[in-house]
Amino acid sequence: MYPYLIFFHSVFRWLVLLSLFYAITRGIRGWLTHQSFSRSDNAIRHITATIAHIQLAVGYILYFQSPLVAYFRSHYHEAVKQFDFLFFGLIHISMMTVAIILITIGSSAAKRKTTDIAKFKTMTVFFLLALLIIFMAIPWPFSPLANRPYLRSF
Amino acid sequence: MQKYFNTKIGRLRIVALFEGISLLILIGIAVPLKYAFHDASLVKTMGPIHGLLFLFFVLNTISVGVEYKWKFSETTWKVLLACIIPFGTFYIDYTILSKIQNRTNKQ
Repeated sequence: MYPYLIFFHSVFRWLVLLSLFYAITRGIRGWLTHQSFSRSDNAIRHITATIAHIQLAVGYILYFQSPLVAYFRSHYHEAVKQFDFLFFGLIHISMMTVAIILITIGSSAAKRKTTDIAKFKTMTVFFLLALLIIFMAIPWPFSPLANRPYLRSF
Repeated sequence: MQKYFNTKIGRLRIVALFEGISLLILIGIAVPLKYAFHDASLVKTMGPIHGLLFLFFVLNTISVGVEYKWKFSETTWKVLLACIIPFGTFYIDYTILSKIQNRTNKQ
């Protein structure tokens, strides 16, 4: 199960990033050009949040199965000094959780707003913040924090 | 039944019910089995199920709280706290969520 999940988690990140990016571009365009918040904008808002939630859920399952995290939790004092353990044991999960909470709040707050501009604005600001945090917390091959490949194989 | 599926608060109440049940199974049956009878199998199956329900409940609560404009200091924190206390979700369902749903249905 674990290798499949980690593969899924790795691939699914691209969908998370793409959906967020697409929602943000539509948000900015609608916000600046004063468009009406259409049904499809609303669907994109909702789908983007759902994709992020799925990724978070898979991430949590992985967290409690990962041998790396198991080592981190059982040998906390030694492991916390090695940055790779600290990253996957603590930093990655907390940053991603914060990001998904921002997406959740942004999505609901945008739905709640009464004017179309306010909807676009709220969605854009929250999603942009979340995207920034997610981008920093992904272990890109070029990241200064931790490195994993762009696509994982089994 | 319809009223539970059509609104966000109704769906939150369903998640609250299952979250509460899974917590009770986990700490009432699975954990005693593990430590008294050294049988960890139920913890292994219930752990992730409860974890997912818990996560789903927390995200849904935040989302519903923002959407229904709950005040965090009045309502949201109580609902969030309830999900880590045994029987807590049943209690807030009875005292908070059911009333809010009835109110929104009448509007």
